[in-house]
Amino acid sequence: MASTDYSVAAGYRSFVENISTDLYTKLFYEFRTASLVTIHEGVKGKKVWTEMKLLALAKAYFAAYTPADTNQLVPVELEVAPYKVEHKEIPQEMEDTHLGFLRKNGFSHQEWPLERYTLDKLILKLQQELEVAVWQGEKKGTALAEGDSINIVFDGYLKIIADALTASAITAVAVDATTEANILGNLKLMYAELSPEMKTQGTDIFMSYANFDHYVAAMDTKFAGNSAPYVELGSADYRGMRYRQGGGNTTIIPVAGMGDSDRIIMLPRENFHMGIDSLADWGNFNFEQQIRELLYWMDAKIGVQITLLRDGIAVVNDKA
Amino acid sequence: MARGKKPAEVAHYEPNVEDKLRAAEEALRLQELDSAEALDRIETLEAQVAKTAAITEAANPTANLPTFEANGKNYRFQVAKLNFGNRRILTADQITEDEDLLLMLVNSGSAAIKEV
Repeated sequence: MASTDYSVAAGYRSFVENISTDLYTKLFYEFRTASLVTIHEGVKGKKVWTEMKLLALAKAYFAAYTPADTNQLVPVELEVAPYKVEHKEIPQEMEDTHLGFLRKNGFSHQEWPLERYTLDKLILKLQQELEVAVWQGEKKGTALAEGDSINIVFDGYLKIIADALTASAITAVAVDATTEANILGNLKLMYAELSPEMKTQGTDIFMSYANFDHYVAAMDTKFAGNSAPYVELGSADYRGMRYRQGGGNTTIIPVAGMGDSDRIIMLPRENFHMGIDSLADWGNFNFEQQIRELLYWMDAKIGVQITLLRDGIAVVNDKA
Repeated sequence: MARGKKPAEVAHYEPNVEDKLRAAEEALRLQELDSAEALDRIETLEAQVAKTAAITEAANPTANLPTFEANGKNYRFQVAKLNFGNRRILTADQITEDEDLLLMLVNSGSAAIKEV
């Protein structure tokens, strides 16, 4: 019996056309960090908005109208950089792994055609790469060259914070390198630097998984396994933990994209921004057939920014 | 009659001198212009040098931050100030004067300093 001919680009194209909304949403909105931060769609080059900081409003009564300076307006720039994805595969060679994948209870080839199987893997890998890039990205000082990784195409959150520290926009709290033994003390020292208003409102604490594990272990030791409740972060398999101090309205968020970084960031998640281009552009997923190979290519744009990086609102440690 | 210079020829000579003088004046003026132009170019070059320095400094904003030596290695501050808890904020210069704080930063692997 002849085996099925998988190598038809039309199959992939029609599959993508049918579920392109899902694919796009999955790629740009559903990687861990993207599900937390504020996303700006359709940013073509640079998006500028104004951050307003209100100064003291209520003053002693006098008849004259003397408003003085009641607000500071600071422009915020979110710049996106173009990147591309190029991928080549030979579908026929995927046949065995795909059939093996289907040989599980409850898996139907109609639900999981090869197109979905391979594209799903592609999207998952891309999500991982974007997750790392939005945190660890560091824009190359010189001109980009063909083949450069997306990690040097734009500045990620960690670099933006490092630059803000150098520019004295915020002041890092000097603490020892995080360990299970000192993480509670370090966090307490950092939390003390938050303004009381932020404590009332609640904030988020971003850290690497290694540091999150230190926190969980330290809390387990301290409270005999009865430490603090986990909280879901958008999906059932992504969970953080309530921070014990303050009003219980602060969440510790582990971030895979931070990798081995020892940076700990206290700042509400809404202040992390990500720009993408663009939800309406379905032409993003392209397939071409070349003999047995399927050539996949996609062009898109991405960039990140952080707002309200000021002492009292944002607190970070002095680690990188 | 000996052939002498005709008054007309003498008269003719005068404008030549004037021409030469004018030419000399013109040359001098051009030379001055050249100097002015050269001065302009020097100023432009100086401006460019300043601009390049500004760009270099912008690309390397830590260049003016203090350096220090600890454990036989040289370090440069990457931040102008640091918070040592309880709002005890010290500038890089103040920290440089405190050996204990410097050692603490070096031993904790702080990103506020960088080996140079």
